[in-house]
This record gives sequence, C-alpha cells and structure tokens, in this order.
Amino acid sequence: MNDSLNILLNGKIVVGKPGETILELAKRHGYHIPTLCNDPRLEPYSSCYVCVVEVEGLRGLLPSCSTKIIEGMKIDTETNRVRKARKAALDLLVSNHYADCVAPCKETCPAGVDVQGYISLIEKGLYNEAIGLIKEVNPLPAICGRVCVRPCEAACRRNQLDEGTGVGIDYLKRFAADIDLESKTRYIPKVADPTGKKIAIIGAGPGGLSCAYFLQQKGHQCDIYEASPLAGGWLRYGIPEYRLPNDIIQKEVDAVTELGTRIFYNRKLGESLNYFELKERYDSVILTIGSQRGTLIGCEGDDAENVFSGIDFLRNMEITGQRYNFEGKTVAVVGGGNTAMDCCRTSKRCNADKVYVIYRRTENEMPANPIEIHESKLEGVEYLFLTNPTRVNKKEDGSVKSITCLKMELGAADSSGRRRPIPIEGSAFDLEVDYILAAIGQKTVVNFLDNVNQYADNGELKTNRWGDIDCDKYTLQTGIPSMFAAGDGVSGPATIIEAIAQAKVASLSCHQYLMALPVKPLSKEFISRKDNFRKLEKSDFVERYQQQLRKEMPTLDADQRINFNEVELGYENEKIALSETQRCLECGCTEYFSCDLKKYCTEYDASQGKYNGDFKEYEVDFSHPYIEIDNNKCILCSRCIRI
Amino acid sequence: MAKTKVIVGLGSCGIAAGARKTYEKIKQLQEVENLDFELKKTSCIGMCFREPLVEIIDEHGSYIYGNVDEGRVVEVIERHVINHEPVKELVVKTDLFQTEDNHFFEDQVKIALRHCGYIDPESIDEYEAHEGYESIKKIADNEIKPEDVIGMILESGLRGRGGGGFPTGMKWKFARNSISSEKYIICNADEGDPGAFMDRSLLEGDPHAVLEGMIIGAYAIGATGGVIYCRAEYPLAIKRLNIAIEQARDKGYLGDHILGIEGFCFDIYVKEGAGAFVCGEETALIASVEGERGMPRKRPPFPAVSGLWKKPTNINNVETFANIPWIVFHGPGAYAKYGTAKSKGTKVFALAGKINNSGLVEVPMGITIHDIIFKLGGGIPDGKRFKAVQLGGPSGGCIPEYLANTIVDYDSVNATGAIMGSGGMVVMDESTCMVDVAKFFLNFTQEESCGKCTFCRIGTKRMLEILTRITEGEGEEEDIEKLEELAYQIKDNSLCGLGQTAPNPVLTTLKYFRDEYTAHIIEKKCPAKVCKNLLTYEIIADKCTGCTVCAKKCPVNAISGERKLPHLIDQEACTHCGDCYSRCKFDAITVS
Amino acid sequence: MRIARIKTCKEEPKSDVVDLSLMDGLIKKYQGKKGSMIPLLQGTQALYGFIPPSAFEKLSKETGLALSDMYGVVTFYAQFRLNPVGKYIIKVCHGTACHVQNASKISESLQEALKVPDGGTTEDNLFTLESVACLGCCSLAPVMMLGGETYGKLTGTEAVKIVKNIRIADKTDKSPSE
Repeated sequence: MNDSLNILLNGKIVVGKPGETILELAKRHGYHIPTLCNDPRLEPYSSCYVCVVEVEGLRGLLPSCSTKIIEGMKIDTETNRVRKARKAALDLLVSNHYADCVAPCKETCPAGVDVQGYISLIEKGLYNEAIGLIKEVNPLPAICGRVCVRPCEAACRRNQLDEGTGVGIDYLKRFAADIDLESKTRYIPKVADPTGKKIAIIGAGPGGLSCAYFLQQKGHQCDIYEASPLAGGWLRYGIPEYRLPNDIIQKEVDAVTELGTRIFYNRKLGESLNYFELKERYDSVILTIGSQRGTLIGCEGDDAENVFSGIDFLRNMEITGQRYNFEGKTVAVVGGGNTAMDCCRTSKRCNADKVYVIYRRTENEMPANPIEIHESKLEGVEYLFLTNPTRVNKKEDGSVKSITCLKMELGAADSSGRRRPIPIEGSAFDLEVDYILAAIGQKTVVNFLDNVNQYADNGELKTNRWGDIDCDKYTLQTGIPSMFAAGDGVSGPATIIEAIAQAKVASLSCHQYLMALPVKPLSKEFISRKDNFRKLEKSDFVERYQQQLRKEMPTLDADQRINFNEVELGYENEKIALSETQRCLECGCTEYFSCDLKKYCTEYDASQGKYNGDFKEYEVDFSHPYIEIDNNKCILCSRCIRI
Repeated sequence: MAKTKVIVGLGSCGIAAGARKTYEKIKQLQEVENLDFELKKTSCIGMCFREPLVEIIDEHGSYIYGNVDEGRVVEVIERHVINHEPVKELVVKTDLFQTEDNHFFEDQVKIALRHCGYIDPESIDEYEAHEGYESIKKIADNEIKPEDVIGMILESGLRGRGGGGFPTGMKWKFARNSISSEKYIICNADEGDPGAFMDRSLLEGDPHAVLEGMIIGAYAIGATGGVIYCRAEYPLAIKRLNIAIEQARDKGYLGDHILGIEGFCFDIYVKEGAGAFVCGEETALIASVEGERGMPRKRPPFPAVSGLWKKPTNINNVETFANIPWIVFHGPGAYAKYGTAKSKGTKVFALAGKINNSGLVEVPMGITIHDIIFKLGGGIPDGKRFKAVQLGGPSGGCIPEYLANTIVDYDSVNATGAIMGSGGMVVMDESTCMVDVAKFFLNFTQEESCGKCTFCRIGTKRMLEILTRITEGEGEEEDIEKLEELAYQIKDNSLCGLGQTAPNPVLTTLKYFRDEYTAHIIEKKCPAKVCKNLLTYEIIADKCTGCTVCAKKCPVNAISGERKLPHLIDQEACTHCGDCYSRCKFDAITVS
Repeated sequence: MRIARIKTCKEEPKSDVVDLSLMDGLIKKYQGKKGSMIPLLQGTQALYGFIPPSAFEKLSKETGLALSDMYGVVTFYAQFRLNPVGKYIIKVCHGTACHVQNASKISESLQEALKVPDGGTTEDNLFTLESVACLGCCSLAPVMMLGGETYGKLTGTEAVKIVKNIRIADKTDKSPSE
C-alpha cells in the first residue's frame, strides 16, 4: 500500500499523501490557491469554483478543494486558462453582489479619508485614534475641519432623507481635531529609522507640509523651503483668520516639524534659492509651489490704483500684519468663488461702508460654499448678480472712480454645463467704488525653469500649456526623475484636500525612487458599488431610518463680527458631537478589511459591470442584536448552513 | 379456435387522445350486443400520431387500427368483429398487407420496446408468456457466475441509454469490485428532458422488463437493495411499477434467495421524485433518495465506490435495464449484431415537433437522421422545409439540415457538437426560430439549475439575459462573443452535467445558425417570424376589403379604418400579438 | 454603532385551520425509516393540496426533522406548494414539442381569461394555473392536464372553453344538495 503519491505540481515533482486534496497539497508546498466556499473545518463543497486548477488529461478545470490527488497527476495552478476562469467566476459572483465596499463619503474624498471609520471612533470617544486614522492620509485635520470644501458631505447618503443636510462630517472632524491638539495623549505617528536620504520640498503650503509629514515618517530627512516669512501657504496668506485662525495653522505645522522636518523661510527657488544647491545637498526635490498669481479682471482700466487681485489683497494684510482701512469706502469684489467670499467678508471687517459682489451668473451657479454665501449676506454684503464689469474708470490721480458694468442674461449651457451669460445691449451702468478686488482665478507661475534645467543632469522640467508643472498623471514624477510635484502647481487652482491627496501620491513615488524601487502608482483595488446596479433613490432611505436633524454649528452673532475672531465656534460638547455621529448610516461594509472576495477580485482584476443584468435585492435582517444578515452580499457558499 | 382478441392501447398519450372512451364504448358494445371476443388493455406501441389504437387479432392474424376514437368504434367492431371484414382504410399495421404507415415500422428493431403495445402491463403472466423472467431463470439454472454476467454485458457493447453513453458492463464491474455487505442498484426513471417520453412508455408498457433488468444487475454486482427513482409526473408508471413489484415478490423473483440462488436477497421500492430536473444527475439523485435537496456532489468518489448511504451504488437508465434481459437470453452476440462498431444495439427515440409521424421508434444505431425523419417520421407536415433537429434535449444540440446524413451513434453525434442524450428528437422546420429555441432550452436549464456552483447558477442566467435581449431586438454586437466566452467557461467549470451541457444548445445554434443571430442583432429581424418584438404587421391596402374584423379584435386598438376602406395598423401601438394576422380571411396582412 | 432604524412590522401569517390528525397515519408509516423526508412531505401535500405551516411544526416535533432542512427541501423541488391551491390545477405543458407548437399562446389565453398570473389561483379558489416542464404526450402538442384528464392539440380558445365548461359543471354539481 503506497503511503505517498508522486505528483507533478507546477512543473515540480512533489510527494503527496493519499486522500489529500489538490488544495491541501498545494498549500503544503507554498502555492496559494484562492478559495471562498472552502473551510478546513468542513467537508469541501465546491460551490464557488474560484479554486479551479488545470489537470492534464482531464476535461475542464477542476475545483482543487474537493479533487483528491492520484498517482501521477500533473497539476497546474497558475496557467492563463486557470486565471481566466477564476476571473470569470469572480466576475459572475460580483455581478450579483448588491452592496457597497466603501461608503460614498470615503470614495468621494480625493484623499480617501476613512470618514465612516473616524466617525465611528468619535462616537466611541476615541478622539486621538480618530485623528490617527485621519492622519493616515490627511495630516491637517484641524485645518480641513474648518475650511475643506467637503465633497464627502455632498455625497453623503443621509442627504436622501429629506432632512435638508447630510451628516456634519467636517464639524465632527473639527471637534475631534481641536480636542486632539490640546490633548496630553495627542496622536503622534511613529517615525522610522533614518534612511540617510534627504528631500527638499519647495513650498510650505498644505501640499508641502503633507509631503513632509508622510516622508519624514519613512525616515527621510525633509527640508521645506518657503518663500514667505511663515508656513501655511494660502492657508495663512489667503484664508482670513475668522475662518482659519493662525494659531491653529501653527499647531498643525508644529505637528509636522516635531517629526524632524525643518522649514527655511524667505527662500524662493529661482531667486534666493538656486537649484544648483539643492542638487548637491538633496537626493530628490518635490515642488509644491501652488498657483501664486491672481488674474486681474482683464478689462480696460484695470491697471488703475486700488485695483488688486483678491489673493494679493489678502496676502498683503497677512504679511505686513496691517489691516486695510476701508472706513467710508465702497469695495467691489468681482467673482463668485470662495476667494471672492474671503475678500468680501474681509472687506466688511476692514470697516468698509458698502461691499458689493459682482458676479456674471446667478447665485445658483456660484461655485462658493453656500455657507459662506449665507454668512456673507448676514454680514451685510450686497450681491449684484448677472452683472459683468466692462471698464474701470479712473480719477485724475489714477485711482478708481467707478466701474462700468453690463447686465447679463443666461443663455444656453457651455462646456462646463453652466449656462453662458450673454450681455444685454444697452444695459450698461456705472457703479461708484473705491476699491476693486478681482477674485476671478489664479495661475501657476514657474519662474525657475531655466535654473533647474541648467543644472539638471537627467531629463528636463517642463510646463504644460496652462502653465502648470508637467508630470506623469499617475506617479507625479516630472521629466527629471528625482523631481516630483503636487498640488495646485500641477493641477491648477483646486482645493486643499486635493493638494493633500496629490501629496500622498507624490510622496509614494518619491519614496519608491529613493529606495530604488520601480516608481509606479498603487494598483486600483476592487470596489463593489450599489450604484453599479441602480441609482439609489429617496425611497430606499425615507421610512427606514428615524429622522434626526443635523446639529448646526454655533456661530458668532452677526453683529459681533467686525473683527477677525473665528466665526464658527465648534460643537459645544461631547454630547452634541455624539448625537451627530449617530446620524451616520454606515454605508460602507464592515468587512472591508478582511473580505476575501474583495481581495481576490482585486488580485484577478474582476469587473462588476461585465456581466450586468438582473440582481437580487433583499432587505437586510437586523432582528438579531449582534448578527446582521445582509443577503445582498451572500455568495451562496453555504458555509453557514454546513457548520 | 382461439377467441378473437380486441386490445385497446391505454398508454398516457392514448388516454390523452381519448382511448379510455374508446375502451368504454367497446365494452358497452360488447355487453349490449353480447359479442364474443376478449377485451384487453395494453400500452403504447409507439405510434402516437395514430392514437387511439385498437388491435384486433383474429384467426388470420393481427390488425392494428389507428385513430379509433369513440365515434369510429361501432364501425370497426361491426365490420371486423361481427362481419369478419377488416376495415382496410383504417388499418395502420398488419403483416397481411401493405399499409400507408408501413414505413414507420419497417426500419425499427424492437428490443427495449419488445413488449410495449403487445402485452397487458399489469399481468405478470403475460410477461412470463413472452420470454419474461427467462433470463434470470437461465442464470439460476446454468449457475452463471456474476462475473460472467458482467462479461456478457461487456461483450454486447451496451452503453448507458440515459445520455451518458458509458459502457454498462464497465459500470457494473466497478460496482462489483467495491467490497461491501450493502450495495444498491438504482434505476433512473427521472426522465426530465422536455420532449422525451421513452422511459414513460417503457415503465407503463413493460415494467417487468425493467424489474428483471434490475434483478440481473443486482445479481451481477451483488446489490442488496434496489430503488426506482421515478418522477412524480408519471403517476401511471408509478402505479404499474408498484403492481409489478408486488407480483414479482409473489412469484419469488424478489425477496430472499431468489430462484434458489443462495445468498441472493434483493428487493426494490419505488421512490417518487418531486419535480427537479437536476435529480436526473447521479449524485443529485442519490441526495434526493436520501431525503435531501438534490444538489450534486463532487465525483470522485464515484457512486460505484460510495453512493447511496455511502455504500457502493450502480445507477442505470430505464432503457438500459430494459435491454438487459434480452441480451442475457439471446446472448451478447445477437445484440452486437446491430449498431456500429462503437455503438452497439438499438436506441429508442421520441420523435416530436414538426413531423408527421410523431411517436416512439426504436432503431439500430447507424441509421441516418435523414432516414429517421423522412422514412419513419413521414417528413415535415404542410410541405415545409426541414431546418434542424434537436437531439438530447436541453443538454444536447441542434443538428442542421445539411448534416442530416449524420448517422446515429454516440461518436458521430458528439462530433457535430450535439449529444445523443436520452433520445428526445425534436424536429424543426423553417418556421422555428433557432435563437428562440436556444433561449427556450437555456430558460429550462436556468430554472432547473440547483444553484450550487457559481458558473451554472449565475453564468446561465447571464447568458439567458443576453439571449432574451437579442430576441427582443436589443442585441448588441459584442453579444455573440460574450455568449461564446461565457458558454465555454460554464462548460469547463461546472460541478455536474447540467451545467456542463447547458450551453450546448446555444453553442450548436451559434455554430450552425450564426446568421440568424446576426439577423436578430444587426438587422433586428427574426427570419423565422417568431420573436414578437422584431415583427412588423402590415395591411396590404390592395387586398384589404375593410371588413373591420381585425380592428374590432385588436387588443390595443391599433387598427384604424372605415368600413369597406383599407385599414391601417399603427406601428407604435402594435404589440405584435398576431391576432389580426390569424383572423384575416383575405390574406391581407403580412408579417415580416 | 447602532443608528435608529424604523423596524417594519412583519405581516402576521394567516392562521391556518387544518385537521392535523390526518397526518398521523402517514407519520407512523415512515417512522424510523431513512430518507423519509421527501415522502412525508409528499404525503402531507397529498392530504391538503399544499403543506400548511402547522404541518411543518407537527412533522418536526414528531419525527425530529429540522425545520430548516424541511424548508430547504420544500423550496428546492418544484412539486411542493406552500400556498393553498384551487380545486382544479391546470397544468399547461411547456416542453420542447409543445413550445414549438405554440404552448405560450395557450398559457397567455388562460391567464387572460382567468385573470391570474402563471402559478396563481383564481379568486373563487376554483383554478390554479401552472406551467409544467413536460407531460410526455408530445405527439399531441400543445397539451394541458386538468382534473386528471389530458387535452391535446389545443388552441388558446379551445383551452379557455374547456376550462369554462368545467366551471359550469362544477357549479351545477354543487347547487342541488347545498
């Protein structure tokens, strides 16, 4: 009686025990075959067919979990045919998997912050841990908790419940971040042992600070070179203090420098800083320079005195430390974005008599945060919609006398989807103003191209046709292999969270480069989405969850605001924050981290839409206090029955 | 002189055609007129297209009358029985002269169906009078050893008639070689193929043949218990089987020490199926007998090693068992005389669909499909063109007209992409849409899928969805490629035969009728004019007399027009139900 | 973390009033036999026309078979019914031969005439309309089985007529003695 069987496994001769299955044999010899319905404690069932292998001479592919080995079998566990079959099995399984792997909030966040996760930690009162979770991808939670544009809240499914708002995600983040900043057990990440590599980061804005935060943890020495006297970039020099106090900025910057990063101020690349130096002393360089130039109105007479670009207006005050005095004056702000809001509300705080916002479309089309628009109105800003400036009229001394505007009406939609404003003939009128702030847009300025390219050994740094830094879309590596870029400087003016998201990508690429690993982006993971099956509607939510309105953010009274004190005051206490956390619908799957189905789908590049068609929809069974049965996710492997 | 016998065919399709009423009428007539003849019942002779059938055996011989419904009884009995004058026009089979339907019987060789239609299935005496139980007696009298019985079956070349085509002798050998004090032999009477009724006729017409086959099998492999798994939709078969088992027990063919053979103790019981096609698969069948859901299990271990209650089990089809007694009695050589080199013997086919002579035929392997359809089958009705024939039910495939000269044997049929299957042969003409046929079969297998393995459960569903879209006019160009890719994956990666063969109808229709698929997808037309959504009904103004019949009957009021003036169909509103087309007496409506 | 959900109250199943003692003989017959679940369920269905929920309870208590196993078997096989059926069950054959001979038209006509979907029962509980896979009478396609009788070579109108006749016959059967 033979005690051992000779098997040819993946080209190697191995010895198997009689009665063993192919799966067991492969495992013993270090070959991992994916399985879903198999469990070592149960009899093999052969339902999922993900564990198929090829055996020479036998038709079709065989499920390795239940096929016993016989003498002389020739087994192949990784041929093309096998991989195709496994992918097909997974494609079919997920085509009926009506569920979300991650919540829409996490998916929509450009940086991929685990919103559902940190809300859950806040609910448990674990604020430090919540901040730790956020800081895995976003090192500036106290800042973002105040001024982020919050795409997550727009995607939040709570919005479907007819309560007017989604979950107050950002308010909760701010609440936790403020507690953590003051806490004795403040979250501080571990820093790896020094690698001996040195990185120069140009710009101490959100992009640069994030890059430093991520790379310093890996053990590389990060030195930031900042052109201004202080760190923060547009956070400090653009966003007014009543929205984002400077001391909060400083605390977040300190959290980066305490890891070992150094910041050198008043050093501008191309002027007070030469690339030659950087090349000598550093192993790589990351450009996080932002979009520094504000666009002027572009009409006749906009070179008059007292016509500023909005961002210059804001920056000057911060750099000089002096406020403008607009007492008795009238200020016109042109534009409809968040910068325009910052300008008009700051003008009010500079004691302007009248502040106008001139915007060529209507309020509905304004890209600014609706909360800002609302607050600005409370503070007395006046709006002139469907109005466009055509000429700035000067006084004799060259300063602004008035601004000629034309009324507009909305025509057909343009390529961005918004309706085009069309001038109404003969509707011109003059508006008497003293100052004009142009908050129409920004552009990137790369004034050190020659300097860099002159000394670069390898490759060339270029800009694209919009003037932004040219680099690989996925790795953010520039034409010079040791140089990377992130933030507004690459994408053009965007948002803080996007800069942070890009910083993470650039940091990974830089780290790979320094460690002589191939520079490539993280592979896409497989995500199952309910949206792939059908659009979710109100009827899926209303009638299933009890109504609970959002806890609103307490603010300063409108008449207390002619100062630069923070307007939003933060949630008063833990109880309020707790009740807000309970509005979270927990859309993402709790098994996200341990799910085998997801793991294999990522490995085999399964596609949920390949075999789309009818799918089963079930009600989730919540009757048990601890166990939740969601039949939408069931793959019918019957392990639960067999056990 | 032997009394005249009048035998009425009372198989299920006979009864459906009104044979019971015929029987009652004959009985009534016999009583009223005090006629002297023996009135008997028998089962289906296979000539379903002429039911109800009545056989009259007088001193000259046998005359089988066809289409003898209640109304014709008086004429036939009066003329033939009373006046001794056969009604030649109604005779469909006799040895005494040629009839129109002779060719239906000419090429048939009845081995499995040898007794069907000739004996009373509820009488063991009649069975014994016709070679019944002679084979088991032969084995007992000559002390033939079990191994030798197996040898005979091997030599005969008999292959499983349920569809698998596995050499029966080998199967028995494996079961014999498994050592166990408890062994089982199971008869698979779960004839699930829609369109197949061979097993039903056998069970209703000659249950003892099946029992004898099982007894011989039990002796050969050493079985202690036997089960006949019969689907519940055959109540008459179940009834007759139970009667036959009782009778067999009474005469000592079942029970302890059968026919004096020391140690040969064997009994059979009937287990009713519960309506699941998948239970025709061996391991699913075993699960069902064990009282569980009929979900297939992985093989190995094969049933011959570990089957029912984990004991060695041998499963054979009804037709296979029916052949066994004949082979043992007449010797394997006699059986091997028929058929081709690798497919010996005969096979029963159930001819149905667009064919003149639908019914059961038993032909030697090696006959061409063309001959079966045109010689025995009488060709296509209404002069329509033969298009294809579906062999093997939902696991099989379509063989197109131009391959009609394919001979019927396991290997030749497999070479075309179809399978022999259990013997269901459905004939199709030019008015059958092949895409619709593929959809029909896939719909069946999809519903009957047990749902255990991923590819069969979800894969067939997705294939069905694609096919449905195609028949509704929403097919896309990539669909054919998608179908094929999925089909091959499902074939490769399914646990049991249902999944492995479910894509066959689609694959064969794609192979031979690809142009119909492209017509559906690209031109959005159904050449056979079957798929509703792709049809356009139009009124030819010249032919329309304005009789308003169609307009009145249209369920969605899509037809407008005044009396005596040509009518018009509103294409937007038309639901393609075809009502107007069938009602128009003037041929004024076209469908394209 | 539990968010506040609104629990939907489940519909109370209609209480069935059936005489369970009819099952005693059946249970005794199969007492102690292996693999008896399916015959027990078939026998129960033969008694009541379907399997009432209380019958499951009784079977489970007296034979030890698990409720979950029985539920699994009953939902697997097409034969078992969990809802009461009409007095007459109309089985329209949808086998291959019948399909090719336009069996769908028969089902459609019956559905329209009786105003029930496939598998449904008429309001007066007289007819249940089912589609079955194959009745084995292919030469008479299209075929329908009703009240133990098989009807072949049907058209939609004929099928409806047959059903109507049975309805009339049934009424006249009932009227005098009631």
